[in-house]
Parts: sequence; structure tokens; C-alpha cells
Amino acid sequence: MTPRSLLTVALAALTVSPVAFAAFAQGDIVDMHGHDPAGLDVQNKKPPYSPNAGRNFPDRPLFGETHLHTTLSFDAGTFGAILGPRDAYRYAKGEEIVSNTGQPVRIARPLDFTVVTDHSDNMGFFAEFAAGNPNILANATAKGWYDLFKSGKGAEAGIQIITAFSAGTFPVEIMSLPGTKLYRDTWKDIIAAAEEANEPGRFTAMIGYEWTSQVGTGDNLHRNVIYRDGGDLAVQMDPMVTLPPMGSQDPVDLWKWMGAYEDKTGGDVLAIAHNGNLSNGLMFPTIEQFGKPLDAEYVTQRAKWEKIYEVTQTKGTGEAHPNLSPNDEFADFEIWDKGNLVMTTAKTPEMLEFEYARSALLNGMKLQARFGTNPYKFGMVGSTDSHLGFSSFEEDNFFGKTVSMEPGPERIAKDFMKTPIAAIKEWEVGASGLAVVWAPENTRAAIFDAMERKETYATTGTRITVRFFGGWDFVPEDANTRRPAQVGYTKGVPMGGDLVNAPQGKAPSFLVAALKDPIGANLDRVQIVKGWIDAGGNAKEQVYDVAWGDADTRTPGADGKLPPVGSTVNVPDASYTNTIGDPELITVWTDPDFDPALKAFYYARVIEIPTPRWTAHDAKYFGVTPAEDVRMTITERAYTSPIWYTPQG
Amino acid sequence: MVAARTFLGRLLREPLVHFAVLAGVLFGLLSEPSAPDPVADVSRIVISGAEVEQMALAWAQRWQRPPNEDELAGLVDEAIREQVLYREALALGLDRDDVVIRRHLRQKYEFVTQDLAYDTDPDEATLRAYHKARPDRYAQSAQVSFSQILFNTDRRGAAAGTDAARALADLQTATAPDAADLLGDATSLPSRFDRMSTAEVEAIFGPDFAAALVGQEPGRWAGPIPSGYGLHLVLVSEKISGGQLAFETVRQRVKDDWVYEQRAAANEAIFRKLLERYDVVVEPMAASTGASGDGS
Repeated sequence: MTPRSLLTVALAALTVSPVAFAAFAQGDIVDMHGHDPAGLDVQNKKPPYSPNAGRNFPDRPLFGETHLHTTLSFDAGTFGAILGPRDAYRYAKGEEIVSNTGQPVRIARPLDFTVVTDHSDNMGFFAEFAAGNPNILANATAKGWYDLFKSGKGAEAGIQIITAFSAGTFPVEIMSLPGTKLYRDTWKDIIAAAEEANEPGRFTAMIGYEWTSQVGTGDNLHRNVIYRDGGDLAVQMDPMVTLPPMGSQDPVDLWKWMGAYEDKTGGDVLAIAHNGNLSNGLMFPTIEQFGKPLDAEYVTQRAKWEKIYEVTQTKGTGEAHPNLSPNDEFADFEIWDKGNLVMTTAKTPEMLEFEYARSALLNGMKLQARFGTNPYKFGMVGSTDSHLGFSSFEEDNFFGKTVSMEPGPERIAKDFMKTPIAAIKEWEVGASGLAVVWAPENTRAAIFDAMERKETYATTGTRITVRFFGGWDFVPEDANTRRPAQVGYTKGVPMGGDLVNAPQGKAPSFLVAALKDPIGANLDRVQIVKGWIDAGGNAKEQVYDVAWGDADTRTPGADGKLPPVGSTVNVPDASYTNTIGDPELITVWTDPDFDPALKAFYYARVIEIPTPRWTAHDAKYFGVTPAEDVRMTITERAYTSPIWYTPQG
Repeated sequence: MVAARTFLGRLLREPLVHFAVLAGVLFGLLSEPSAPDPVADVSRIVISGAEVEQMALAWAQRWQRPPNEDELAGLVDEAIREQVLYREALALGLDRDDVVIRRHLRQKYEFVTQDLAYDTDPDEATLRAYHKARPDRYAQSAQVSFSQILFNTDRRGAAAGTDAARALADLQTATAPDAADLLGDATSLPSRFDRMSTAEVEAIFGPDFAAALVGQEPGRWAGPIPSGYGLHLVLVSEKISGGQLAFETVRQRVKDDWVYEQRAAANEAIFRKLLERYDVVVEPMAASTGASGDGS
């Protein structure tokens, strides 16, 4: 075959299945660089561009965890977690470990980064007690517990300790409080574990903690604090707690602490809120917070410190709620909406608007009109909130959220929690999620900086790759190159970015490219979710299907609705096949309803074909029959950070 | 020892038996005569003033106000009810056939017995020997530079294989550096990778692809290699083998690994020691009903 026939080959290849290109925009992809194919066998004239161009932007996203508890968290310890930060990092790097219930466990693929975030209140007490820390044993009550413990009556000791703590009779003098030696030692040890595990370029262990604010009767206002810095800076201040007098439940005070830390050390921290779904209407306030009217100070501080939000985790997914988004057929996904975190107060419908990411993104644009700053201009990540001492998020390898949920035949039927208000079953706990960042290198600084510019996305536990760019000049041909990232960064802004100054007569266009998890399920569709504030000041939203699998046989009906992708899941066998959907979807989409006078945001949502949920794997492995209401399949997904359009002036 | 090994082997194969038997073993331990009777005088219920105070405090903590008289009386009534029913349940042995209670107690037992019996401070010589004995474990990851061309099986179907083979033949004769850009399908998978570790290749293409890739001879187009995305022609331009990591650079990792192994072994030793106290019989499944008359 002569070199000239290369073109023929390429053309022939393209004509094999032209319909399958429906997801791609029209265009001639053969001669994409405008080269004369006859020149293939002459000395190269000029390369299309530098072969090292790819080094300017990341080849692949980094998958990680930003929310993980170990035995150093008081609640995890009392639930029976014995694994600490060092175990967590070992596991994340792909080493096999032994779980809290003695079961061997290994992650299918290593993570790229992990932040251990133990609760800052009473941090480290349980582990230190169990290890016989003499400072604790100096207390008579603690000594009594410890003697019980050592004489083989550990169960009794455990019960007494937990009872004392929940009854508020836990001796304050041995409680792990900031400023005490125990607290310092614990914090230093957390830092030391991260320093030891951190291997720039290969695996990043970031320093962090969770500030666990619970207000009212247990409404969740939790935040994880993540450090860009190494131990030399992080060690200079003890974490912020919620217990007075040194602590506070008010996020405003957390931000003050963060400011004080940065002033003192020259370091850099950010906060990631989570579980708005369990805040009973308090996570994304628009009128007041902590009894004070919302003011410019609150909105600017929130926008400054909280640039990303954890949108999915084991205790539910909070992107959208079916009541708020009735036209979004994918909104009803792993929803937890029965009450607050400790289930002491039931949920009422009017709370929802202030709990979910999409409504917060909308309300944020309204608040921007009032205060000049959008407090809820956040990007998206997911994480687990595991209390096991290791991150568990894989459907076929799910160890639950707490030690009581580690694999066993009974967990599919057990209560996760039960109060007079409502019961949540353990099967409702989700195997979710992951924090994904587009960072140019795997280091603390690069990952942190990507988070600060919101070049992040969330997945519900699988490793979907998604690139998302917005600009004014994307054309359909841009979806037909080998280097969409090059085009994306050149002609637009990546996820988390801003579009301003709409050119006359132009609508924003978006380049979105999604690859399935390399060892996971095919993709059903890519959607773009648009939210905007109309001329009357009302929040509006619309979900567009922009690319989908099986496009040769699957076209939207007369109502504009795309038919479902179907399902290949065999529930009893806990299996599926990739015979539906596509491994890769890429397209350029231009907003057909753009009004340059109105504020808007756009984010991409990528949806996988149905796969067996962890409950199906449990039913098969343990040979148990789940109750009828137990969900056995799942459509995993990715949510990108939005790109915002803001009109001038 | 052989018996124990067989027993454990069986446990590993049969997870249901695993949980039931192991929990049973530990339950047996806790019920030993030497264990204290949790309820000294079964017919007397005393709710102490301190306990009432605790209830009131717990209430106040949850509801942000102290309980009123009725509420406090309700809490005490509830505690009495709980004691009565709890003791009656114990008397009937209702705790004994409950898998949740068994596993909860097992976890508590493991919590108090684990991690008490291992050394966390090995000496230098021990660690060096450990490092030396595991050259594969403390090796630098191999790196590979390569180009790839995707033939999307989802779009091309069965023709992907023959298309890839024809393209491969073309590439053997093509000389221009960008010839590869004209073949295969558009994709957002990068076409060139410089010095990627095998772990990174796995993260992008999956483990099977990575294994096949590192087996390729550098300097010529080869393949196709399958991945979850389709078939790939690959050109490996550079392979850098891993090589040994010096002890000094991985000292902490070696220590972590050593401690981890010690800990796992110590915890297993505790279990083995406890197991010695028992005569364990696991009957074959089919005999479980028929053998019911064979009591002791």
C-alpha cells in the first residue's frame, strides 16, 4: 500500500458507520490540520504544533477523597473504627488492609490524593485512651475505664465511655480540647501521617480536618477545612472546634479562624461544606443565618472561603431534588430528605430550596444582584464521609459508612438510624463519591489551586473523565479533533470559569468531552444544565441532552425527549454488559435560548448506563433477599463545576 | 494446627459460616463463668439520682432546654421499661440467636483486644533486612513514552480490527511525524504521552492495556491493543525501567509496611490463641438436619 492510500484508509474508516458520528458535530475530520496528505512521505514541513503542547494542561484528571474519618474521630472510634490515618493512606495507595471487622479489603485502583478529615471536636481521645496515654489515665474516671479495659472487660468500659459522652458527663479535663497536650499530639500525629504518605507526583496526602457544626436540634452545617500547606505551617495552630469557649457553631467564626490562620502562617486554606440535604434549610441561606440578616460581609466571606461544595457522598446526593426540578427526569437520585442529620426534626418542603446545589446556584445569582457578590458561586466535588478509616465508594467493594455497616448478611435490612421522626435503612446509604480535579501535577499546591479555581468535578464513585469548556467561538469541528483539551483551553475557559462581555449577536458555546471509566460502564448521555435569572428576577432552569450513546438508533421523540438507554443489568447475578451506550461522548453545544442581558450558569452532567448497586452485590454474595423497596440498580454520574455568564454592568 | 488451618480455610470460603461461627466463638468467651454477671440482682431495678441527672442532661443537650417534670418522669419510665424488658429478654436468651447483637459484641471485643501486642519501633537492622528481602516492592515504577491511535469499536463495529490492521501496515511505510494524526478516530484520549508511570497508564486505559503496552518493543508501531474505548495502535518511543529504591528514600514506607505486618500477625495470633480454647466442629451442610439426633 502506498503512503498515498493512507487517506483512502482514513476515509474508508470514516464511512464505516457515519451514523455513529451523530454525537459528533458535522465536519471533515480527515484533513484537520489543512495538510496535503500527499506530503506524508516528504520531510515534515511544519508540525501541527509543538509535541509538548500537551504538557500545558493535564492529560488526565486526578481522582481523590476530601472527606474521610478515622479512629481519631470520636464518633468513628466509638462506632468501633480502629484504623487511623496511616491505614487510610495505605489503602488509598492500593495496599491491602484489614478492615475494622477483620475483613481483608483493597481498593480496585489507587486514588491520586486523599485528605483525612477527622472531627476537630474531641479529636484523638479514643485512640489515645485505648493506647493508655498517661495524661488521660491521670484522671480517676478514665483510669477506672482503663482498668476495666485491661482486665478484659473492654466491652463494659466502652459502654461506660460512650454513655458518659452522650450524657454530657464525660470528664472535661480529659476531653481532647485545643491547647491541651493530647489535642496537640493528635493534631501533630495527623500531620505527621500526611507528611509521611505525601509523595509529590505519585500520591498527594493533604492535611485537613472537619469542623462539625450542628445547630438547632442537629441541623448539619459541617465543613471540611483543607490545607494547601505542609506540616510546618499547619502545625502552628490547632484546628477550629465548635465547643465553646474556644469554638463556635457559626460558619462566620470558622472563616475568621481561617483568616487568622492565613495571617499568622502565610498559609492557604479552603472550606468545603457538605450535606445541605441534612441541614433542614440552613445550608444556603438567603434571608438570615444565626439569627442575623444576611449581609455583604457574609456573602463576601462565604464566596472567599467556600469555592467548592461536596455535592454527593454516602449520606445522599444533593445536586437537585425532584420537588425543585420536576422536569428533570434524573433529579431523583440517592436522595436523603427525611429530616436533619440526627433525625430529630422532620423535613418540610419549603426547606429544600436552601439545601440543594442547583437551587443554591440559582439563589446565589439573585443574591449577587442584592449584594454585588454571589455567595454560592461554587464548584463541585464528591467524597465519601466514610467513618471506617478508609475510603469506600465502589459498588462491588462497598464497606459502608460506619463500622456497623461493614459487609455482613444483615446490613441490607438493618436500620442505619431510627428516631421517632423517621428511620433510614442501611441500604439507603450510597457508595459515593469522588472528588476530581484537573491539576497540572499531583501535588498539594496544584490540587489546592485547581480547587480554588473550581476546575473540579464530582462523581458518584466511578472514574468518568469529563472536560467542559465554555467560550464564544467553539464550532462543531472542535469536537472532531484528537486534542479537544488543546482547543478547549485555547478558545475558552474550563469548568469553574467565567464568561463575560458577550460579543454582539453571539451565544455561548460549550465543548464537552466525556470518557467512560476505563474499566467501568458505558455512558448513556451528556447533559448541560442551565440555570438563569429571568427579566422578572425569577430563577429558571433547563436540562439539555447534548450527546448520547447509541445515537444511530436513538433519537429524541416528537416531544424532544430522548428515549431511555435501556438496561443490561442482571440483578441476581449483579452484572451488566456494555452492549448499550457509548464509551466516549463529545460535542459542541451552543445555547439556543441565550439572552445576553440575563445572568446564567451552565454545568455538565454525565450519566452512565444502569449498573448493579452495592445492594445487588450484597444480595448475590450473601444470598439474601432484599425488601421490595431496596434499590438494586444505579446510574452513576459526574457533575462538573459550572461556567457562569455574567452580563456587563 | 492442621485442624485450625482447615477450619480457617473453610471459613474463608464460606462467609456466612465465617460470621456466625466467629461471632459464636466470641460470644462464648464473653459468657464464660469468669465473666461478670452484668445484672447482680435480677429482681431489683435501681435508677440512681446520678442516672436521672444524666438523662436530664442528655435531654437538654438534644433539645436545648431542660426537660419539664412530665418529660423527666417520661424519661425515667422509659428507662425502667427498658431495664425490665432488657432483663426479661436476657432471661429468655433472646440475645443468643441475634446476629446483630453477636456481631456488635464481636466488634467490641476486637476493639479492646486488637493492637495491644505488637512492636511499633523496629530497629534499623530489622528494617534494612525487610527492605532487602523485598526488591520488587521497593522498586521505582517503570515509565513509558508512547503514542496511540484509537479505532473506536463502538462506531466501527467488527471492522475496527481490520481497519486497525490496515492502518498499521500504512504506518510501517509512512515517514512523516504526523502521519498518525490522519488515522483512527477523533477522541479526547491524548495521542501522546511522555514518561507516564504504569500506574498512570492504568488509570487512563485500564490495567489490561497497560500490561500489553509495556510489553511492546520500542521504536515501531504495533497493536492493536484493546481497551474499554476500542482498539489502539501504539508506538512506544521510550521505556525507562524502574530500578531499586534506596533504603534511605523509602525508610518510612518500609517501617509502615513492617509495622502493618506485625500488627496483622499479632491480631491473628490473639485470635489463634483464643481459638485454642475451643473444640470447633463444622458439620457438612447436608448433614445439618439429619445429624440433629446426634446430640451430646
